[in-house]
Amino acid sequence: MSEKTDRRTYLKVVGGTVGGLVVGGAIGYLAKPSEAVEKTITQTQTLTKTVTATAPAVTTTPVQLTGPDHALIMLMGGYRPDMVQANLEEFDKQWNVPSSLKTELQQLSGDLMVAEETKLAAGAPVDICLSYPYSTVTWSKAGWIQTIDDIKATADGIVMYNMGDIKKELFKNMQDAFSVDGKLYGLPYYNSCIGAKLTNEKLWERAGISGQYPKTHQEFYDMLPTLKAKCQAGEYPFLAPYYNEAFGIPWSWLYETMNQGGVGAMFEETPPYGPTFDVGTLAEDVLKNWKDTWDKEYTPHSVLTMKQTDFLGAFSTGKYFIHDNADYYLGYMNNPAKSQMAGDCGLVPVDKQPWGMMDAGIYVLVNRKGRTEKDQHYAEAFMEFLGYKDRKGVYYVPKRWGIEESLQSGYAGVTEDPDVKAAYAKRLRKPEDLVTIGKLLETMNFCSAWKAPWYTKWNTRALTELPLVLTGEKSIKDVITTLRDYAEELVKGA
Amino acid sequence: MPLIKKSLSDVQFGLALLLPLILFVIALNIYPLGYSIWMSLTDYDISRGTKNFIGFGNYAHVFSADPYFIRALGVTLRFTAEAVLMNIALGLGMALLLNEVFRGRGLIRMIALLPWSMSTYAVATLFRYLTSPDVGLFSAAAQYLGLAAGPVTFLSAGNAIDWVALAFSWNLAPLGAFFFLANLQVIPEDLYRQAKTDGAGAIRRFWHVTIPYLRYSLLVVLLLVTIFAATETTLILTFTGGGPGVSTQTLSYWVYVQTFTNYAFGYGSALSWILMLIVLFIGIVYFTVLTRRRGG
Repeated sequence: MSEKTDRRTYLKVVGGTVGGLVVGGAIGYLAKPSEAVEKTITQTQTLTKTVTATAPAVTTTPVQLTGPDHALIMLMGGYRPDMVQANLEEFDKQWNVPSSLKTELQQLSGDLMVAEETKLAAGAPVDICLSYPYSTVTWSKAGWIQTIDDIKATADGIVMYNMGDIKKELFKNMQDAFSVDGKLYGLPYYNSCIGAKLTNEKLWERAGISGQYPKTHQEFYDMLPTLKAKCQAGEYPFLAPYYNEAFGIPWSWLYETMNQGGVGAMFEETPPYGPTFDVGTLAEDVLKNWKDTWDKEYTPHSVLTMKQTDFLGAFSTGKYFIHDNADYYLGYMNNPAKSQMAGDCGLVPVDKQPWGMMDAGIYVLVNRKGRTEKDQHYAEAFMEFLGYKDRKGVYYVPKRWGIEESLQSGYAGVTEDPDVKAAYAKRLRKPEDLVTIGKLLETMNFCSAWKAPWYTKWNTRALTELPLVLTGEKSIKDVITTLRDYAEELVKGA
Repeated sequence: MPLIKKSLSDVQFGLALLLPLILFVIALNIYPLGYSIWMSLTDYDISRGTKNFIGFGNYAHVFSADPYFIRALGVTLRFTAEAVLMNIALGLGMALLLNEVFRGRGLIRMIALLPWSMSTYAVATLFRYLTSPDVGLFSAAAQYLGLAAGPVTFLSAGNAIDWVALAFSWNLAPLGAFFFLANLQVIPEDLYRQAKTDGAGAIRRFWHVTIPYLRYSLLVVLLLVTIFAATETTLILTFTGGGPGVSTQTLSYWVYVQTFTNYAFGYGSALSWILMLIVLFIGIVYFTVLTRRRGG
């Protein structure tokens, strides 16, 4: 081979080839949706269009579902990806989504909120993702997500239910928590009460105080010396919720104060949600009780570095009389595969005051760029499927979470469902705990400042400052003043 | 006859070949760096919806009004110093051991590399479980040996950062060890024999023969460990989450919190540039000290 090539020709050939590939690829990419639609036409099957919202699907006119123009994309964390994937497949099946455009699950690792925000800020194509009440406010202000308030059943039969009807069923406290400026922004993924008091009934029985539960936070603190006296080596009366999570120590302060003084005991209940806690208020009394609990070692000092998994792992060893956690962890604690105290975990009933506050996850509808009208309808239908009902009028996804993972929903129709109740009953030590769960969800509140876009900043500061009270690096008064001043600064800067 | 005629000059041809790489570097390095400098000069904050140019306002705020900056800087310096010392000690120790001739040396070298092959997340999770009072190995061992009556709390506000430094060094020490080992293997045996003949003991031989040969690998390891330690975030987030209290909140952790928790992209960028300048300064000191000619 002695064929010679000059550099210009060489570059032309290489450049031409690369350019050709790029142009070809772009044409192929642009052509993909229409090709996909062509393929799906042959797969189209006749389904029925449902127009009623609350009752099982009512057939009116036959509609043809051909699938979206682009595959729907959902972001989720690492919790039960198998079940999430199965739910997506069920949606594709019911909405006749062709296999070439099947709904995609993007499982994110690490800090889910950060990973999601990175994608949303970058404008990545996403249709549905998980949010929380406090992040929903910021995301809506940033224009990343859209309100679902106006969703209505569509003539093309893709969207099944009117949001107005869904709202009639959705618990009022969740509607409030999921709304920004009066507009609803999400449907429930799960609903729970964080700060429920979970007990190790075996230790209570051994101590001869079975059923003698505290009725208020103050009664509980008054009980701690007695519980401490009943502890054996290596045991503690209390695994205090001072763990190192955004929903750990800061939220514990919020709900303990609000449980005793009402929602307005920490922040104003209306905009601009300025701080109401101060030195000399109930918030200070709560911290005094904490300091006493810490100094007298009613709780192990290791809680300050615990993450949620450590916190769960610690209580599941069976060495603690009581701890605060989300009510759905009752299932975890009574599961022999996960807990050393399986079958012994109960709940302190709700009596004179509520315990804890709302901890809910929300499906939100992302403002995906370049979404066609048809894609918008599919995204809305997907949202309703995940957070409400399927095409057959069944709470398909919420019921599954309830049955398999003890996750509560935002609808009485799910919590009262016989299958869900039966699944719960298997994980309870005593039947009355199911009544307690209902009461916890009914009486719980949420922090009004969640609706302020600055809330996460304040929460971060609280996560940093509150442990300093316990370790003695700062006085209670200093910490309260710091957090109050910071909240006022944030309100001014909002 | 050359296969390719020179219708382009050598320089033009070279540039043409480099062009894709240059574009790649601009897209992945230059642009993000420039963008982060620009962000650091703005009040870009998603939660407030602001994105205005404020000059050096963020930098001024760091030094005048951030109540956590000085503390975070102190924690960063302590963590970095501990990490560097532990890495050098562990790495050099491992290298000296692996440089000896013994049966199974290949296997031991492979095992010695294993910690480095673990992800930071895995290392953090491992150490979290090792130090857990309730389900941790260390606590269980202490109770089993009768050293403690109940669960032992290892991570306190006073020493949690030391544990993070230990976890960091355990993970990274094999890297330094193999840098040192490569250097150790090229030291001529004759030098040791001559030193021995001159009456030098083991310590003097190590100091006067081994160490001078390790100078450049020491510089590389020092630089790498300092950069990695000063910017470490994943390990801290996963192992201690910055706690207890603020005891393990380093500057890089604070950058993360400001940027991704508080949505203050502008302020977070300013903090990260300050951190970068600190690391750069330390790097210059290393170079100056370790590349200085003796008697010069």
